Amino acid sequence: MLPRERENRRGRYAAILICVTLGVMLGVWRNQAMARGHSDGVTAAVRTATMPLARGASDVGDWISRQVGGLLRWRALEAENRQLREENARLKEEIAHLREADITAQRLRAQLGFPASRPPEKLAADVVSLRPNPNFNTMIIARGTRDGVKLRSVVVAPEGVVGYVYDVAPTSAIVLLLTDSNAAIGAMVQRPSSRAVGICKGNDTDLLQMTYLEPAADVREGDLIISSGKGGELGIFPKGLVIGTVASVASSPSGATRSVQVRPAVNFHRLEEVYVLK
Amino acid sequence: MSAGQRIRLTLALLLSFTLHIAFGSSLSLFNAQPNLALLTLLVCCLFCGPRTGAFAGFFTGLLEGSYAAGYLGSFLVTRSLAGWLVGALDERLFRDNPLIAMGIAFLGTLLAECWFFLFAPQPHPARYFLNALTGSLYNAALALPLYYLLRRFLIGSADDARHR
Repeated sequence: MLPRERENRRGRYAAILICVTLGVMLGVWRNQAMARGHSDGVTAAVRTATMPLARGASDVGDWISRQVGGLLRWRALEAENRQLREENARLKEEIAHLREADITAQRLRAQLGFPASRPPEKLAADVVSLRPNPNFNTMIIARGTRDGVKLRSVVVAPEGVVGYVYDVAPTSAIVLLLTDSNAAIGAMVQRPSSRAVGICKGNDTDLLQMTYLEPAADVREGDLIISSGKGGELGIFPKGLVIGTVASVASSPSGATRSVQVRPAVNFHRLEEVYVLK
Repeated sequence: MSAGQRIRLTLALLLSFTLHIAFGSSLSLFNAQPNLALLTLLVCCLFCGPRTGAFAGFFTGLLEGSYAAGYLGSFLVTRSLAGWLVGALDERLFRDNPLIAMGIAFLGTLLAECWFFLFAPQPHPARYFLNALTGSLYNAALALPLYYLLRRFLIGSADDARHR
């Protein structure tokens, strides 16, 4: 073998050796940083540097899709608009009733000595990327530590819970969606005759699995499931956020275990804006 | 590769990643989603040697890993290996044939995703490999136009004629 050829060959193996070694070291470093509960500097810097580009492209994409969608669906939009106007009138009436009930509840809570409950402050955030990798149920939002977003901040949409902040950089955050198999939330049935408590877990499909239910727990199809605010790390979600509705309840032949599937209230395929609870 | 070509390679990878982040999920067809960043890496590496391929893979892995929930090390290692391997094929393959680019895009994506699974096993293997397979097919379909685009961008029309 010629010396130059040998040198080239050595260079080729040195490059991959350097990349793999550096890759393993950075990966371990990031995992350790995440285990300690904070973001690592490298990925945060990369995200901060590339976020303006990603956000610009996402804004252009949203604009195009709105223009094209509006042109293609104008007839459907007209019908949808009429339906929304009717729904709006109905909801206004319902809000008036609920406001009255809330005032009564607050007064009774004060009389019984319970502390007054205040809704958490919300920070609006644009979704830059939804599920960039099909194997992970995550999304990227254009809010970060500069806006007061912290690790494990809860993210919601008007329809219900979306997930929580998994990693945060100065101008962006990675949100783990409820549908991811690593996500879970303390949940309960919102029905006066049943306050059954369990845990809703994601399993990488469009449905959530409600587990850890008591054997005699009363759960029916169509029940509204809200966050229970309980459960150690899962308790990062405040009580009362809408998770979804029960899609199916199936018992094992022995009756010992039950499989309860919950359809999330949020459409995880069409999220454009979300709110981070501060 | 000249310094100018390396800059163009970096720009191509950065641009494709930006497009992947912004439009990747919108390009879904029957649950198949292309990985534009990985595809660009594989096609680019047809025009550079293993050394540049490994570093380009590392760069792509860093971008992808920075936007994922964990698994940074797995992204870095698998993308570096993919870039290096395709770069090493540079001397052994007739890269002027666009069908080679399609084959490389299919096999390269599938191999990178299989390596990823080895480094970071996922909870639903069957679903993971189905996603990997459909994503690889999608990448292979997109490889053809991208091949002509990147060839012109990286090598240039004058160099391209000389190369032929």
